[in-house]
Amino acid sequence: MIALKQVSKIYRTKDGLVHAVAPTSLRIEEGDVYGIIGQSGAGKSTLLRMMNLLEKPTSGSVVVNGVDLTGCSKKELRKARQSIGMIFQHFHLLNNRTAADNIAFPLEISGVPKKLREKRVKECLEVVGLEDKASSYPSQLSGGQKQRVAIARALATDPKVLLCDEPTSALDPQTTQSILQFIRDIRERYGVTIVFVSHDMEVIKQICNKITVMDRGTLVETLDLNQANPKPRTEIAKLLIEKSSESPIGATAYV
Amino acid sequence: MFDQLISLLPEIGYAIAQTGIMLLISVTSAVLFGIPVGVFLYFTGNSQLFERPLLFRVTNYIVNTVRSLPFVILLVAMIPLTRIIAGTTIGPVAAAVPLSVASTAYFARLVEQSLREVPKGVIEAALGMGATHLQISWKVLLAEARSGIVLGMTLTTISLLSYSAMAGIVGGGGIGDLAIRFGYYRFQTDVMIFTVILLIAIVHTIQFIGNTLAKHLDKR
Repeated sequence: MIALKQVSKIYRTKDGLVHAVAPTSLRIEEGDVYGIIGQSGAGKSTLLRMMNLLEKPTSGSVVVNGVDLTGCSKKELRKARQSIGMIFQHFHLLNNRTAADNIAFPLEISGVPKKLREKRVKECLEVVGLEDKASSYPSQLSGGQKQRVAIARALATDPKVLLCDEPTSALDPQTTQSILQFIRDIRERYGVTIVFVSHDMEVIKQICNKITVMDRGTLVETLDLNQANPKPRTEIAKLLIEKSSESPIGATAYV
Repeated sequence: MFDQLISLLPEIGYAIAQTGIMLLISVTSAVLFGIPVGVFLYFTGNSQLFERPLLFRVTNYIVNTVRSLPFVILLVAMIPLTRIIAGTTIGPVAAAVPLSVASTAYFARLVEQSLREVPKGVIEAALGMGATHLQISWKVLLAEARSGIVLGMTLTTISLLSYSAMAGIVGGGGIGDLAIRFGYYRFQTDVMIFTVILLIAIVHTIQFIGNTLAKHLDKR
């Protein structure tokens, strides 16, 4: 579903070159809920953002849903992006649009006629349980509600892939649980492939079936939570996974 | 004291109409040209969208140059160009040409500033959905910055009213010109007081309309 081949990202700053992501390859299969975990600055968000080319890789290729994003034209890229949904830590909703109009936004962009748009917006509002907030503006919604609108917006165009960039990191534990539940429902209902970036192992463990640990721009190791009793080998993975866990890994993982 | 004022009523009405023409033309130009120039400045200076350092620098330089000229100088310096565009160099329509140039540069800068206030993440989200640059301009940037742009428009209009007082130099007429000709040159203090009150009332009205509209448009 998603294949990164030797992608790297180098930033040019005043103090010289920063290697955010070293040449990295990664395959994510259809239906996976794939977690990328690492400490701040490990390059996990950069890696995620390369999956829809919001971040242009310095080298390597990105293939999503059979389309080589790094090799296609701008027009083809825009088309491909319409089937890749994304949600963010800080929601990034349009503040001058109501919840319903925010969800309609990606549909307007892809030229869906008004009638169909309205129908689809209604469906998506139902999925995230916000039918009664259709005409509310983001400033009138709580953090969790805003993220639900963002999820509905990401879903509107019926994407094959949903990229989640720390979507629960600005939310309290209880709201985090409800957002995770919505993401699970969506995965079940639409069979979307999900990539989930977080620094919080508790969250990743609950939702992902595969985890990749990232440290200083490289993939350190990948664990399949479907396997019985997966054991992290590297120090950083142990630090992130075992120190944070009260319950054994995989016990609550969504499969 | 106010007898003379009554005999001047037709003159006053004429002056208001002249100021109206000058404002109408120059505010329209500011909207028609200032918004695209502001958006252009924003896009060419933004690494996320359409970064073109050379184009940005050239446009930026032109806008700064126009804005650095005192309006009286611009008014006189532009006379040859005014003749080409308006066909004449006297009257309110002719005065509207340099007014339009000044207002376009001024408003373009205010538009650019308002657009910079739009959170980068929102633009990124739209890019991630496959929006074109035109869609981002309309549906994201201008839509999200609309209340700031309305306030910028208000500011521009009020500055234009002030600039238009200098239009008398090229025979443009208007309220400011009336104040100078009667109130100052002829020592008719009543005319001076009247025009000052009139200008204060106009400015307050414009600001009130602008504030109300901006508040209504702002859902952030």
